[in-house]
Formats: sequence, structure tokens, C-alpha cells
Amino acid sequence: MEEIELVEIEGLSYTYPGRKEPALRDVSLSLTPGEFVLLVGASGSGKSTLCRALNGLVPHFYGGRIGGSVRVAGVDTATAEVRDLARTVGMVFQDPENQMVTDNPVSEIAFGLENIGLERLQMRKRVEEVMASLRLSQLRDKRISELSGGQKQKVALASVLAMHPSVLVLDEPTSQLDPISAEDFLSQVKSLNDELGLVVVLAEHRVERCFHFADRVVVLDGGRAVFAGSPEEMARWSRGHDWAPLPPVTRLFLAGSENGVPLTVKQGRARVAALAAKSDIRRVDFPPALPGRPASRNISVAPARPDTPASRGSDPVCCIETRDLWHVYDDGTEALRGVDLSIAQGEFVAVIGENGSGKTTLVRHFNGLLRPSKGKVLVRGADIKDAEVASLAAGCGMLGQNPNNQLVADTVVSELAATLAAVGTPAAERERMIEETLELLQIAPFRDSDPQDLSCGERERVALASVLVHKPPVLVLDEPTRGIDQATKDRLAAYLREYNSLGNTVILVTHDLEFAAECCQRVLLMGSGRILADGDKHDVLTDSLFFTTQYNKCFRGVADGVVTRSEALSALEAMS
Amino acid sequence: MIPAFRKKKCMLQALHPATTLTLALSLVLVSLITDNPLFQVAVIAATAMLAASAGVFREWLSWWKICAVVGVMTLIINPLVSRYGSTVIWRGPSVPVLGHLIITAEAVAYGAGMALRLAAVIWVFALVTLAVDPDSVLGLMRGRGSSSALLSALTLRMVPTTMRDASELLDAQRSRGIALDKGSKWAVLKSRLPLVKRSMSTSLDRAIGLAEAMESRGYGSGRRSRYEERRFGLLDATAFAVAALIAAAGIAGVAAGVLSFKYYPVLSMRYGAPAVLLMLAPVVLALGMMVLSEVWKRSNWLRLRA
Repeated sequence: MEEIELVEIEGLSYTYPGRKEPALRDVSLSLTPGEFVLLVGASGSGKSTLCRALNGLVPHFYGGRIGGSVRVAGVDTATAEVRDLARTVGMVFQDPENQMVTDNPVSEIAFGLENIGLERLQMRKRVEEVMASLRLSQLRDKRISELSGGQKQKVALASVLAMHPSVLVLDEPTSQLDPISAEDFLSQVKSLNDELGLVVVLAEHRVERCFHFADRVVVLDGGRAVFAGSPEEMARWSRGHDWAPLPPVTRLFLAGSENGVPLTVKQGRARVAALAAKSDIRRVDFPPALPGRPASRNISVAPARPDTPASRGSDPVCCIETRDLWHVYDDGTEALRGVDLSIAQGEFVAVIGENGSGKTTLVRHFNGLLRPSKGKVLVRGADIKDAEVASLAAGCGMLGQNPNNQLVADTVVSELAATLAAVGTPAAERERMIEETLELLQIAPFRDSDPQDLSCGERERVALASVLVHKPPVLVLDEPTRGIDQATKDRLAAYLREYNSLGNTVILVTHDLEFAAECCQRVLLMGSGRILADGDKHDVLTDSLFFTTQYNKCFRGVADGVVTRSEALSALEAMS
Repeated sequence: MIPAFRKKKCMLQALHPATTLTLALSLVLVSLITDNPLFQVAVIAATAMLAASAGVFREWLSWWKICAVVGVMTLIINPLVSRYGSTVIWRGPSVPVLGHLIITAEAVAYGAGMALRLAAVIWVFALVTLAVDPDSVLGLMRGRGSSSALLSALTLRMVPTTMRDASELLDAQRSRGIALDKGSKWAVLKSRLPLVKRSMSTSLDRAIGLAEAMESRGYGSGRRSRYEERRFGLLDATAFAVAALIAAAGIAGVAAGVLSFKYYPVLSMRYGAPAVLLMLAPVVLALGMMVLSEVWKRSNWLRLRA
């Protein structure tokens, strides 16, 4: 029987007003009821625009030029109003903060129903139903401002679901969430797709959480749909397209795999186990044991120990130290509870842990943005309790979670010049330092552009440049990979490694464990305001059940200690 | 930070928002029409009891700082600008604008009376802020007013977000070494000007995002229905009666001169049983509401009939 198409996109092209380049070029796609479609592509590839075309926001809300057609349940979105399409297409946006209208979950969920003039009894039934199904009932008396990011995003989902749409469009809904909330959110979406038969269109950067959910993956590049097929087909297609986003475990087994590639950690583990059995290997100890550590391996693979100040044999100079550091916020939350920590010059440290574990609170003490409630913070041996943030900036540069907050000047060059002037760099040296930084971060072509006109990835680099330009010996980055695509992430990792190799200390607060493992030598695991584990990344990540990389989960029990892609490849090589 | 409304299981929150507002208005009205400082104290005590019955006494009390600032200013300014009163307690030099400084005991007392009146009004406002859901108050507006109500609700909701955005922006700039609080006022202003532009741009982005989200959820597609429909009940009738009695006590006291308190030229006040009775009226009525609130919490019968 031929399947009925719920959404038909034919030759869709779209150009935003005032832009020369189209955001979408000749996209054709059809979606059948119950389908789960994953939209992937680099930043600016057209994912968000395509999402907005499905409910008519493009072109009705934005204007611009449109060609081709989008038909949803037989209705042409070019002729129907967005508000009329709201009953058929529900949309959840990236930032939960920007889609809440009221300050209470119940009235928020009811908002859309009131808009379509539903009767009170019907509304009550729908509100209670979605609250129960998304486990939001315990939040009914809370204020929206009291909810976590994950809870807010669930309320946004509930407010859309209550309108009983046939198509659910989600535009990077987890980009502002921590991994646990993101996983929880996407699992809910998957169960809605399974149980209610909703068409789900999900645009995502972090594909490892949802790749295996998809019935179809659509890859966008420069506004074109360059691929559409099953996840397995997409994995095979990506062999010739290195930039295509894939879960780490899928990418690992891509080379040389003639049969299907694993899409999940479970499948990856099975593949590793099969390889180990085939080559009669019981255990690969990786990386080789440290002196004093028992060696229990059958096969050893190439050493991958990082070059740390300690391993260089030099006496490490302590650049940041905390002693019995406590921080209590005004509402009584004990965010830090007696943290003792010492970071040496030249170290590359990742601070990981769940939301609310105290990661950001800890690093905000390093440049005086927060002051200890009790205890001390020493920077190069000096207590910074009376030092101003601005005066500490020369020694400790910090890039916050939102790069846009860094960018206030009219051009990229003046953005960098402002930092140099603020930290008192002699005027004669400024030009040279700006040029060096523009080259290092490959943003020289945008030197005279307004930072606000740049793409997301470019803005991220300019924000980083505005901190790096005066070469602070300590660089702190808070969630630098949130919401950025793989290519930008790879570039960022390269810059940070290079900066660290020059003897600078880099401290990274992140939920992205793969990124942390690729870049860092040392990992601090935080929980409930305390340091739960601190040491070499192999020790900390291998010892964790959940706070570890997909590679480590795949090789656990066969090649313990594998945490990075290169180590995983070496382990595979050793087994083959 | 000023504490905000939180949903609680209490009688005051179970009332129709119009009822709670009427109760608050009656307290403000009697505070404004009477000069008697003892009556102002009675209004403050009544407000405190209502706050306690709503389970927000601690948060309500935390507004004392605002009351203190406003009160101290009134207490200082009035004696300086007022030339009335016959009991001179200090003669000062001649200063520009104000002329010869003469401080009288009556002017100080008048300043104290005004400070009490302002404190009473501020604390009533605090009670409304803490115990009445702003969404439900805005929901009282219908028809053309509903758009304004929605706009007000959105503005209220975005205040914490905008403040957080601004704070993050300032932190980001300080982290780059930009000293935002150093130098002359002009230098401080100049260093912050680019941030205003950035802040506006962030707010605009948020506004566009919100408009998109609202349109995607059918806003503007026709006549809206209402999810919450609060009806007036037995408790509302009781609370209206309490509000009416408080207002009547104040109005009657002023009209009959029973609550009369004269500051100038010398302090004078009428004593007597009627004055005491009228002054106690707000306290006794609020006490009654407090008791009723406790009964309401324990009695399913009352809750179901309210």
C-alpha cells in the first residue's frame, strides 16, 4: 500500500530579506506519518530555516523570497497563516527562555489552547494529559523562572503537544541543556514518535544522542539536501564526506567496515567483543601501565601519555590554588564545599560533572568574578581576595558560555584592540598581537566586519580571540562547545592544544566528554560542590561509569583506558 | 533580591484576585485618608497578620529595608522644609534654597507620621506582590485590555532574564580587563555605552524569538478562550465584607473626627472609646481573617464551599 505523505516539500528555495545567498536551495523532501527525521549539517547549512518553513514562519514571519512549495496535510504553507498551521505543526525552539509567555507551567501549556479558542473542559483535559505524560505534574505550582533548562524545555514541548499536532518540529532543542537533561528530553520525543505516531523533525548538532532514533537522516550543506536515507546509509555515505556529523562510535568503525556500522555504544561493544574473540585477545591494557601500576595486559599498544609539566620532569609552577574553598549563594545554595585544588602552569584541565555540581562557580573564582564565602583562592601564590576582576584579567582570561556577551565593538579588530587597551598592552605591540591572533584563529578575512554579522562559529572564534589576544597565561573556557558544529569544535580543539603547547594553562568546563578527552590531560570530576575525582584523564574517565567517552564505554573490559579516538583506533589496530 | 510570588496553599491565594486587590485597596485607602499615626500602626499590624496568614510573613518583613529608606528620607526632609510647629528644637544657619533652618518638634512628628503612612502603603504593596499571582491579576483584564495584560505579563517575565543577561554581559567585559566602574562618571558612562547597544540587541533577539514562538502557537488566530475562570465564592463575600468594614472604619473615623490627629501648631489627638474601637478595627478584622485562614486550611468543608 502506498504511504500517504503528510509533508511534501518540492523544490524549496528561500532567501532571507537583505541577503544575496539563499538559505535553502531546491530542497525536496516528503515525510510520511510516524517518521522520525534527523536534520544534520554545519552551522548555517539551513537546518533552522527548513524547520521554520514547515510551519510557515518562513516566509510569513521573516519575509524574503521563496520558491517551490511546502504542503503540510494538503495545506500550502505559503498561503496558510502560521497561526492556522499551529494545530498541525508544533515547533520547539532552541532556547527555552525565548518561548515562555507566562510564568507558570499550567498557564504556559494552556496558552496555545486559549489561542485556538478551545473550550475550557477540553483545555483542562489536554493540559492534565500532557503534564502527566511528560511527568510535569509536580511542577504545576512552580514559577517558570524556578525551573531548570531541561524542565523549561519539557514545558515548551508540552505546550506544543497539547495542541495535538501531527508534525513535531524541534530546532536544536537540547543545545542549551546538560547531557542528562538532553538525553531525557530526546527519549521523551522518541517515545512520542513511537506511541503517538507523530512525525518528528529534529535538527541537532550532537547526533550521538539521537542518531539511532532516526528513520531517516537528512544532511544539509549550503542550503541543499545533499543526502537523505537511513542512519546506516548515511554512515556509509559519510565515508566520502568527512565533515558529516556522526556519533563517535559510528565514525570509529567506519574505515574498513564492509558490513553495517554500529550506531550505538551497545552495537559498538558487540563489535569490539567480536573482534577480540576473533583475534583471541582477552584483554588489551591501554595505555601501558604507569610505573608502579600493575601490568596485566596481553597486548600493549603505542603509548599515548600526554606531555604534562610533571611528565616533562620540570618542577611544575602552581598557577592557581584553592584552599578549603566554599561558596554559598544568597539563596543558601552551597555551590562549593571545601574545594582544595592546585593547577600547575602549562596544564590542560577539564572540569566535568552534572549541572549544579559547582563547575562554573569554581572557575569564576579564578578571576574574581565570585568571591569565596570561606577559604582562599591563590593565583601564583597571591591571595586575590582584594584584587579587582579587571586587574586579574591580564593573568587569567575567561570565555563565558555565551560568546555574544564578549562582542560589543563594531569591528573584529576593534574588539581585539579593546582587550589590549584594557589590560594595558603597550600601543607599539598591539598591532602585531592583533595580527598574530587573527592568523591563529583564521579570522583575518573578517577583520573589518561587525562581529554580529558573522556566523555562529565565526563569532565563537572572534570571542575566543578577544580573550586570547593578550595571551593570558591561564585561559578558562566555560562550555565552549555548546551549540557548535563538529567542524568548529575540531578547529577549537586544535587552537586550544596549540595554545597549551606554548606553556599556557587551559581550564575547560564542559559536558562534552569526547572533546575533553581529546584536548585535556587532567580531568576534575565535580559533584555536589566537591571534587569527586582528580587525575589523569585515563584514570578519571575509565573509573567512571557514566562520565566517560563513548570510546571508553565500547572498549570497557577489553581495552581499559581507551578514552580518545586515536587510542580507540590503536586498540582496534592491535586487535586486528 | 526582592522575594516574588510563590504559589502556596493559603486562603488569601484561594480568593478571587479582585477580592484580594479590594482588601489591599481598603488598607491603602484608610492609610491615605487618616493622619493618625496609631491608625497607621494598626494598618501595618493588620497587613502583617494577613501576610502571616498567607505564609509569607518573613518575605513580607524583608521589605523593611525599602520602608526604612523611604521613611528616613521623609523624616529628614520634612523638618528641613517645613516651617510649621510651635516647639522649636533647633535653629540652624541660613542655607541656599531652604533659608533659615528651623526644626520644630511638630515637623519631626509630622515626618514620622508620613514615614509610617508610606511604610503602611509599601507593606500593603509587598503583601499583594507576595500573595497574589501576577498572571491572575493581569487575567482580570478582558477584551482590549487582554493584549496589554499579555504585554505586561511578558515584560514581568522577561525582567529576571534581562537582568541575568545584563549581569553576564558585565561579567564578560570585566573578565577581559575592561574596568567598568573606574574613573569619572563620564568615563563610567562611556565605558558602558557599547554594552547598552549589546544589551538592546540581546533583548531584541529574545523578543523576536518570543514573537516567533507565540505565532507558532496560534497567537492572533481569532477569539481566545480562557483556561482559568475564577468565580466569587463564600470566602470572597467574607473578604469583601472585611474590606468594606476596614474602609468604613477609616472613613467614619475621619468624617466624625474621632481619628483626628493634629500635628500643627502643636500635637493634639482625640482620645476616647470610639477612637480606640475604630483604631482596633483593622487589627481585629485581620485577626478574624487569620483565624478563618487557619480554619480554611484544616476544613475541607470550608475549602469545598469557598
